[in-house]
Amino acid sequence: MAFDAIFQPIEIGKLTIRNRVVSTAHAEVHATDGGMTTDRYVKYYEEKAKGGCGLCICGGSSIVSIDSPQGWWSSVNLSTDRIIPHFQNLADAVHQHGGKIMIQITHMGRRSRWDGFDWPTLLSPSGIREPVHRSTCKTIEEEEIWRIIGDFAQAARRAKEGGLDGVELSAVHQHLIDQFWSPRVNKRTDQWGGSFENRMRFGMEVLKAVRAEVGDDFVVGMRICGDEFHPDGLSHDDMKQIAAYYDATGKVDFFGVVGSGCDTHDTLANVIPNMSYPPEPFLHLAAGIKEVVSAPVIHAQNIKDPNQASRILEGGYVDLVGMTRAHIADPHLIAKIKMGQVDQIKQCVGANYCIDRQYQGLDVLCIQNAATSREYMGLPHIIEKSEGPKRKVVVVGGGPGGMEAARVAAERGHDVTLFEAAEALGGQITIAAQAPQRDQIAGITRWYQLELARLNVDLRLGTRADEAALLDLRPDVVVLATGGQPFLSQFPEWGYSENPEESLVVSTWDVLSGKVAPGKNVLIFDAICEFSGVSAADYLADKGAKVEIVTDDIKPGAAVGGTTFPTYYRSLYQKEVIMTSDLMLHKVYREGDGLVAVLENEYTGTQEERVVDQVVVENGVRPDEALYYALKAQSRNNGVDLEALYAAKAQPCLSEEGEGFLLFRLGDCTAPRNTHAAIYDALRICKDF
Amino acid sequence: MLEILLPILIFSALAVAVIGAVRRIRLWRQGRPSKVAILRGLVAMPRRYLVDLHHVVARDKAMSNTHVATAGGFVAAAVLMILVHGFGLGSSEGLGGIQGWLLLAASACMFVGSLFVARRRRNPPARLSRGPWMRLPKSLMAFSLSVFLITLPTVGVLPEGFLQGTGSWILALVLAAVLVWGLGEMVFGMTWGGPMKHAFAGALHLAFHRRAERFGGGRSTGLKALDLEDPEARLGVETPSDFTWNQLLGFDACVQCGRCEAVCPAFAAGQPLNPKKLIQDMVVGLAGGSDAAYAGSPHPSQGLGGKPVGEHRGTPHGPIVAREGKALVDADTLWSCTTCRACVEECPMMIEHVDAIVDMRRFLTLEHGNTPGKGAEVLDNLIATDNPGGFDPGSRLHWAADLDLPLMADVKQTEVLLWLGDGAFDMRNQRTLRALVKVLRAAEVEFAVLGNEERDSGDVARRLGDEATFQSLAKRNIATLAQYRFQRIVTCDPHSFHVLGNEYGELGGPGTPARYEVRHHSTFIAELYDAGRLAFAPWKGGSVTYHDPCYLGRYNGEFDAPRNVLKALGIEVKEMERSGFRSRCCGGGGGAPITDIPGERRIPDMRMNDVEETGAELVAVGCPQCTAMLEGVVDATAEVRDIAELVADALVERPTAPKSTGVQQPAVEEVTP
Repeated sequence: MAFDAIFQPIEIGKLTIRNRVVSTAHAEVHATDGGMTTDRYVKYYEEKAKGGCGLCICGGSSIVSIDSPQGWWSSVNLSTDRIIPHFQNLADAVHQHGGKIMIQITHMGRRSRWDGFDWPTLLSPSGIREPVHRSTCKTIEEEEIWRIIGDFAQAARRAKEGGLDGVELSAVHQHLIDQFWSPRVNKRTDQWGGSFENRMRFGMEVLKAVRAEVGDDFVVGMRICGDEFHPDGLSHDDMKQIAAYYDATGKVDFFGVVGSGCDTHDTLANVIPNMSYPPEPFLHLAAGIKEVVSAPVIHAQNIKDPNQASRILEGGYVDLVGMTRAHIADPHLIAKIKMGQVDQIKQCVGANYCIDRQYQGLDVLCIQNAATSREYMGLPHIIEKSEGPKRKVVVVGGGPGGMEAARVAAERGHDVTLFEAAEALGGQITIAAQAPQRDQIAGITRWYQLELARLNVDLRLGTRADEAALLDLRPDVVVLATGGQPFLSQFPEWGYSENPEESLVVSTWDVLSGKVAPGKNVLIFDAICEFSGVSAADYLADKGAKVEIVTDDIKPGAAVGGTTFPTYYRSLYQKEVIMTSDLMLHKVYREGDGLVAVLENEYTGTQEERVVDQVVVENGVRPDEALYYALKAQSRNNGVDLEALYAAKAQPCLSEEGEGFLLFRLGDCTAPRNTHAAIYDALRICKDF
Repeated sequence: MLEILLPILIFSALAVAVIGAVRRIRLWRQGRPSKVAILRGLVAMPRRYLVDLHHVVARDKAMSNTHVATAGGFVAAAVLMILVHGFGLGSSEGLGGIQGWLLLAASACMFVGSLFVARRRRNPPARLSRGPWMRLPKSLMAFSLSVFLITLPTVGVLPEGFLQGTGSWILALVLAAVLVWGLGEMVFGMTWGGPMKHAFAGALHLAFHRRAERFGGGRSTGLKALDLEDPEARLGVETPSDFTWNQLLGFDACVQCGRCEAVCPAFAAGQPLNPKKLIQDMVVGLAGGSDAAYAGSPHPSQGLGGKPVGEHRGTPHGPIVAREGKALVDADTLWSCTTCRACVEECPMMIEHVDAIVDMRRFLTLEHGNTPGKGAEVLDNLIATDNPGGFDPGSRLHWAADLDLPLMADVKQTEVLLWLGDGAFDMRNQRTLRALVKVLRAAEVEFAVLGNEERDSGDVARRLGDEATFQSLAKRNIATLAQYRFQRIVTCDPHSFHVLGNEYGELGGPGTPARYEVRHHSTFIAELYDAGRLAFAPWKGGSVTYHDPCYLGRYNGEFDAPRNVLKALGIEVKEMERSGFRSRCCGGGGGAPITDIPGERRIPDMRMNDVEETGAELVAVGCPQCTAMLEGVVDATAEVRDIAELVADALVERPTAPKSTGVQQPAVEEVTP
């Protein structure tokens, strides 16, 4: 039977998990109100359980002590009994759908930030600063060690009393337990440092205290690293020794294994591998741990599709697979496998929008699924068919917003036509996918292509919709998602012209789409610092160009998230791309066969010049508004009703009688935002059509 | 002159017929013994003929009237003819002359009937055999007309001396010749292998039928067990004489009407099976010879034209299926059958095609080990793992890991034993099972499952001819069931339902009555609804048709409960042309998907075309096998859902639900996108 390996139940401790798929612990950020789980939190996990996920481990870095930094990621607070009734709601919600739920508990020690909320003094075995959060800490005292051990036990008790199925002790990501383990952080010479047994002592005392508190009929697992990837850090062999040491106590019900440490920007990127990584890049590390332990092993990291998951499980590398981002993209992944609808699974593309928001202290959202973590607002993962009138819906634009609008309208049972000027769907996603190591972003488009075909949407590709063609269809609703064009005309000094022969600058779109050939010596000016600038730099360097990328912002790629800029930097540095900040593109002029770019320092006003053969400018998008203004006066409604939109309620005009069509516009043709914004607007506008 | 000639003709015809009958009976008696209540059968025969057989024939009103007139006329005319013209009791002094008039009336009636037979033969449908059958209407007319004419002087309509004198001599001779033709066909032919053989063999077949329970409206569909302990008995049927004598008699009763051919899904799919031809092949075999005289449509074969007629031959004691080359029947003919029983249900002679096919399969599987396609693998799986898919027998409950189902081993007794079937290993059927669990819990039914103690019911093994594996599975299941107390078994699998309900009884030890009753889930759900234990939200979906699973409908007569459940859901079923007892098989029974004999098209495709013709957007089913077959159809216009799923989706809380006592089970729900 296909996917049979996924659907083998497994015993973890005394708990039966219905299948082998786990949503592993991550900080939800939207999770809590003062450390207490919210309705939003409960609904987020309930959806996964409803969708068939076997085990959810919630609450990445949920704190056991009041001095573990909590505020930045809005972690769940297990340092107080107030959490117990909140857990009961959470447990009931998941259990009623046959799922199981545990929570990760930890003391983060020196990790995260101290400058907020209770302004905690961070703690670490030897007071050594953590690079990734720029945080300093004190050296932990003996009394504090014993207090925190007790806090772990109390936190576990609260989880148990709240009806959760277990706790996962975090000894990964350089939290306090593995800070004690790691000789590069633990320089102590007392009983808590030095020898292997001494470095293991804190974790062991935590494990003993927790097990003593909760007894045998409650799952206690440990999440550990497979290899810190630091020359002076814990190696894979060290980790095997550690895992075997704890496993031998018989007190650990499972091990979760994460490849790579994460206390530098570069190692952090390994932990949640983005689309530049191969599938399951660190599986071998988890398999190595499985070799030496008797407890079941869970491994996540770039396991995104059911075939891959089956292959890993069939190979016996690990006992359970973490498909965490896969569930953020599609919480109904398991149900769709069971329904024989594998093609309908919205597969994670590794854009890491979710985790990159988390590292900015923002709620975890999915780039391509606007319903995720908005279940509490009534945004649906499964669009119900409308019971109202069948409408003729015309969508203009086949980018993410337009595709989502067409999908949602078609799921509602309407007759949908989609116009796209290009020969293929995708819009800016198609351009973004041209960059090296960014091809998987096109997975967003691929899913929509399959869905729109399944839903029999009338696709008019290669067809630019004009007013007449559109009104010919006698639409009831027109959705404009026409996007925009690169905004190169903002400063006349740049020498942009619509005539490509005359224009002194080209856009990143021109470069990535292959519309203009790569130059040999290229200056990229990037005013936006999102993906497009660094993607163009990587693309041009890949084609053999000498590239300098200049920005007037903090640094090139400054707006690319924490798990993705490192992979760009690895590539750009390797290709000797020069990255320069604080310079504004002042002027471009032609000199002989070449071009001269005049750059002006933001802070001193001094100018410098570059002689190049191609100047690429990334200055964002200018909305394409022509069609909107041509149709606006004829439409029945007056644009989007914001109150309804923000409340995710039906647009009031949908229930009003009248002649003519309703007009909505969304995505970049309103104002340039991002993929998620376009898809979110499309979903919340169209879900009530 | 005729007074002398007629008795001679009549009695010599009868004498020759008796010799023919003796020879024919000896052919049948080549078969193995079979316990038959001879006298009781003969006494019951007229009623079986006039009521049970006529009930089947009457599905075609015109043909039924034609047959009543012709056959009724003939029987009356033949008896009266013997009295009037054979014994000379025709003169007015004898019985007051009435018998002559009656004979006139009978022969006239028969003549009218034969006109309709003739009309039918003018453009006969493909299913009817030609050959000697084409002359039958003329023979009927010859008999009836000549009898009528020779009787006219007897009753005095024509003067007594009409047929005397020289001119009349010639007329009398012509009449006598026509009568000889008529007598030849109707009396001599009846026992010497002419078309009229059906009347003689048919009457005796009805008297000595191997499933006497079928008469009087009964249903007898369970396969009969093979005695595996008898060292003398061959395992299954290798040669025609390995059939029991009354089976051979049954084959000989075939009237070649081709109703079986018209309803056979394998035939329609162009697979090499034509049930009529198969029965005729058996007739060839019991008498010895080749099939060259067969005049109906042949066994289809992949490609064009069908298997050529005349190349197969056999003898009563020679093999039916050759190990190499050709004998009477090719193996792929036997393996094309889906055991859907459409032929049996349709046969006016109540011939048991499926029994015969399984008997022959038994030999091929048990003695030769020649089960084609995936058959051998499936049987190996059943032997090794107790399930046809070869799944880990300990994983039968994996689909329910989160449902906390009570196990019989723990509870020991319960109201309902939920029999899972091998669909428990199939992801599609697991959805049906989960839906059924949800329904049972909503109705607060006390139930439990055997879990890993359950084994395959043995259905597939038995129909693939592996009686040994069937009996091994069945006996172990029976032993397991015997450990527990429950009121009834409920299952969503009609195959398990049939085997547990109709075939286990014979194995439970002699004379032991069934300890339990078995219900198909649609029947049980209908009962729960009628008892007010379920309430449904109004149906909001599109139009729906219903596909009758063979093993629920034809095998067990349950046509109403599924329709009642759909009605309770607020669904008005758009019936397919072939529904109810005439439902077309999905192609999934009898191990047919396992042996996978190629044809020109697929049976489930044809069935989904039937669905499409109704315009339904959804076809409701009640069988895991049907679901799998119909869902496997590419580009189907309708969705396939089990009745349990439709019910589970429509569940709403009962307005006056009594407070549940016991522990409330969580209603485990998954999204169905």
